[in-house]
Amino acid sequence: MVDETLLDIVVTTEDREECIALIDQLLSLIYTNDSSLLSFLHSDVPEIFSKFFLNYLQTTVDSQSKERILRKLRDEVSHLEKISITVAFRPSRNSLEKMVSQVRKQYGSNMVMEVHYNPEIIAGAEIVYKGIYRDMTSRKKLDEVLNGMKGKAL
Amino acid sequence: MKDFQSYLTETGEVGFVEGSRSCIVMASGLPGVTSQEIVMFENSEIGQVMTLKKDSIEILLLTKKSIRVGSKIVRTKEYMSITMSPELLGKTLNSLGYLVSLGKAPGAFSAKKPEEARRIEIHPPGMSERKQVEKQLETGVALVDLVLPIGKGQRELIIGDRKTGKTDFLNQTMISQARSGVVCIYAVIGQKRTDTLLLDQFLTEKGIRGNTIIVSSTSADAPGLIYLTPYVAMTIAEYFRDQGKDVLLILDDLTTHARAYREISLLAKRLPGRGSYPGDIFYSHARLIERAGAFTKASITCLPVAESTLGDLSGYIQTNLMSMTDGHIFFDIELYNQGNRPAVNAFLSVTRVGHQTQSKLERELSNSISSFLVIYDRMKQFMHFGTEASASAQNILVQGTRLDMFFNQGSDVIFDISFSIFIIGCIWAGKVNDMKPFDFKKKISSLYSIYSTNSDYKKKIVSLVSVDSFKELIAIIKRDGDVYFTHI
Repeated sequence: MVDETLLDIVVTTEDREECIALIDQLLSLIYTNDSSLLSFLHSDVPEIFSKFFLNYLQTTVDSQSKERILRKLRDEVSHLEKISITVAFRPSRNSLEKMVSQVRKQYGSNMVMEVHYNPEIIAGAEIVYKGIYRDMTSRKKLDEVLNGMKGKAL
Repeated sequence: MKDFQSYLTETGEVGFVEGSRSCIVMASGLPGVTSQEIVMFENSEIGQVMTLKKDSIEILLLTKKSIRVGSKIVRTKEYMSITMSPELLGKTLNSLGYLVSLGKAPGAFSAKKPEEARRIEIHPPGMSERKQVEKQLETGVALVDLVLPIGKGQRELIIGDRKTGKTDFLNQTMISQARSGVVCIYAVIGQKRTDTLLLDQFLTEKGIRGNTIIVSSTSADAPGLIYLTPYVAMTIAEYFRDQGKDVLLILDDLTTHARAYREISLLAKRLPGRGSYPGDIFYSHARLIERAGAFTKASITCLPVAESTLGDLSGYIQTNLMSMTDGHIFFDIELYNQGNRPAVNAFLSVTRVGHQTQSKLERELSNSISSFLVIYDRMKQFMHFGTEASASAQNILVQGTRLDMFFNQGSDVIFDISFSIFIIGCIWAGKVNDMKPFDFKKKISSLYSIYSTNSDYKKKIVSLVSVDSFKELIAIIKRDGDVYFTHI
């Protein structure tokens, strides 16, 4: 089970990639002195991640335990399930968080979203999960209506 | 076929390309996809599902174009099938059923009356739909028709080294059969494009193009297309069989087919077996050849071709094919180099069901020739020591030489069985012993020309060879042979 605080941060597949890259960097710094690890977390890492990892790593002192924790975390993050969503707008962070909370309510907590932007769908969303495709877009609805009208007219 | 978006809306399933190795694509998604199903990529290229794994699938690409990682894939809920119509006769198709013509890109085949679409992978028919091989398939090659007869519905392997006259023999057989109304299907498997064009040209020149179909894949095609070629040809053969027409199907050649399948299997990382071929190479050929045979509706005579190396008949694919066919005709490179056309080695060739299609006279004649060829061969070896031959030995040598000359008929001559029996009768009756070799050859040529053009003469010969026993035939030829042979 992935830490809930981390799940709040890792919302999209891009977040996941960023998180994994960060863990890899932390793993490479873990056996150097503590100051370099801390300075890295303070200076080079986005704030949301920095806060999480500082809290997370505070609980342990020795490097081996830190490594074990980070590796476990990396494994859990990389196994988060992906759901692909195409929308007609570029969602803000706030929108993404709202979307992911809905997704996690439906499919479970260990979900991340791969969000695509395609204005051609007009509105609504295309969703792909475990190979199942659902088209819930206005484009499809509009096509259906127009084709129906065309059929009647002919 | 429909477009990508239509399939996506229709099936509601999508997959993504995770990686590719040449003609094999690994993909995720498509939870409901089935084995052998056709899938479509985002760029409208198609592939066939090869392997289903727990979380992924392997797809055999049916195109040479590369597929990008991350591309979407959709199911089509369709399987490889070919549109069937009598209008296929005279056409050249590729493995996807598209028409192939010189200088043009393959175009979809659309018949005025498309009768049905048939799946190319089906189970072979069971025993209840089959019957015994009863009729002979005339090849027009005297040695084969008399000594190694092939029955309609027989599966006879044509095996030999490169350039030993296998294709010439197959062409002679096709001419002979197409002229008698049999539908001939020639599967050109992974050969040069020029080979297909030359075959097309040859069949047109001989006036039999209207009764033949070429299914071709070239060495430049994707291995998936090469692999499917014989299955497509067999499916077309089954269609014409179900129309009540006898079919001659030539698969040229299955060693190339096996190599294409080996390439696919190795790329799919399947465990290699003997000669690096996959474990199911036998199954892939057996399930194909098993679809031919004599059926209650009509027959499919299958002549698969296998290429040997340095006359070695013990290769893996070659022995596999031998074990699943009803005999084999071996084309010997040594005989070819000695000038024999066809270069058939009668001692190393086998026909398992062909003899049951022969009449009593033909069987007697076949036995006599077979045993004579053994004696003649021994005698020739004996004479190498420079021994002075007795009269009877000399007689055997003269008779054997004439027989050799007759069987060495060339690659562009076709003899009717009746005519061949008559000539053999003349040789056995001693009518040709005094003739010089050149005169004998000339005589055969002139007699066959008369036989082909003079219907009265043909009728006479046919009635002459309708006797019951070989002895009787020899007696008649000894008595009245001059009427048919010398004074004509």
